[in-house]
Amino acid sequence: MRLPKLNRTGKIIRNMVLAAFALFLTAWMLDFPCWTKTGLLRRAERVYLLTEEAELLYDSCSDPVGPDTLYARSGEQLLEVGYERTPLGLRAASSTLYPPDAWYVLNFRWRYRRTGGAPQPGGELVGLVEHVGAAELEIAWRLHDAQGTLVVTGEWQAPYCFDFRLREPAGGFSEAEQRLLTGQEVASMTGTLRLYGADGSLLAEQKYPNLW
Amino acid sequence: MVEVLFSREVKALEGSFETWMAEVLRCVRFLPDRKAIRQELEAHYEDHVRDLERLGYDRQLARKRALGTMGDPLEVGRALDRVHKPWLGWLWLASKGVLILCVMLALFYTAGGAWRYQGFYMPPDPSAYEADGFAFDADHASYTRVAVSRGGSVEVCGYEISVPYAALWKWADEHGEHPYYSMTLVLGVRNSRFWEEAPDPAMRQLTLRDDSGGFFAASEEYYEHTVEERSQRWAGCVHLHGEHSGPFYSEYWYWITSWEQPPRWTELVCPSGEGFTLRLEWEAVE
Repeated sequence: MRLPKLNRTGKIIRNMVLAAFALFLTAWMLDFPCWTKTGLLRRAERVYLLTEEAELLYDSCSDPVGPDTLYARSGEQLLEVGYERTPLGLRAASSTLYPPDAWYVLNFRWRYRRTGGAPQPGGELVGLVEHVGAAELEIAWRLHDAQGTLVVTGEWQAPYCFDFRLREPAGGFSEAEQRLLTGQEVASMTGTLRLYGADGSLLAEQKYPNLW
Repeated sequence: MVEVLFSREVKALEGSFETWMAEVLRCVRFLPDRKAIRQELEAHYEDHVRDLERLGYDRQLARKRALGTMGDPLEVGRALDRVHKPWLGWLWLASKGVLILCVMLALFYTAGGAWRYQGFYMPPDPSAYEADGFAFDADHASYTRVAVSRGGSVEVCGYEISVPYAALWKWADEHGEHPYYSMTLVLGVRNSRFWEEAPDPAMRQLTLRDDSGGFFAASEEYYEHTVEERSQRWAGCVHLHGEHSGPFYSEYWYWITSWEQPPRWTELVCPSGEGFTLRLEWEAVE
């Protein structure tokens, strides 16, 4: 069957219709990405059947460590939505609704992204932490021939976030710590998070059996 | 000598055709079309020359006559410019670029993501649920269907959740002893927003309670505990056995076990967010 010969206007219309179809197909394959972060939160609310509008607490997109993540609260619950950027918008990669008693979330990662150079482990503590004065994470590590402790102090980042960055001490890292940081050997690592009030009192202490 | 003079004259004529052509093309503002216009006019001119040569004209005269019939270059050029509007031409080129880009995007992402889509899942015919061997139904001689229930439906956050099929099964050993009862349950979720997913995380948190006070935990929570803790805290668990997703309709299949006596009613409870409750009244079957 011969297709009708189109004039230029007809070709423009045909091209635009085909482009729209291709875009729809792409959007479908990408699970119909959202155009805004608020849209991502609205979708996450719905899949958890939440009726209270989630309020964005922190967006880790500027964080060089770990995937892009939105942290929000819906009522008394914390909602975490991992997302990725696509040519058509933002696509939800994962979502977690924490139980009502979880008032903070620690995401500490032993890997890095985007920038090259030395690995820079880090992460963030996000939640209803406006009343927290200081936060520290004690990491107990063990390699096959060495063990030690690293203490990372949280830096106040936003009203709802403490940022954790492992910084090189004045004397530099030891040889074993270098091996640990470069990931040459899989280490056993446990963490202890301590949150202090403005008066220095211990507000919470939580152990993480595996920080790797 | 004659050949040289002839050749010069032809070249002069060709030169004048080139001048005519240059004047025509100067009037056409949409530059990308000039090449095609040139080819078309050249072909037209050459055809005319050949026709005249066939009629007995010598080459030089044929070219002269053919050029004479091509018309005034300015008039022809203006007419062609009216047909080849620059804005329409650029729009056409832009639409071609957009189409190429979109098709490349679609190919890239379709190739990467098509495996996730195994077709549209549509609600099956109600009789299909009761047919032997449906999905995970207890299609085994040791199981007997003793009760069925078709619960109502509930609307929550824009999703319509219904129970298209639920059955209670009695299991007994080869001597007909040590019976216990299990339940198969299908929950259908209708979603008019085809671009959004089903409430999958919420559907994984379903719990169940029955008329005798038994409580069945969501499998995710259930399997986090030791066998001893499970038996102390719960009567069993709501095990999500399978799921099928489509743009407008998704189905979740559960297997819940077990009871020593068949329950008269059971209530499904989703604790996530606003949550929902669906009550199932059981009707005995032969």
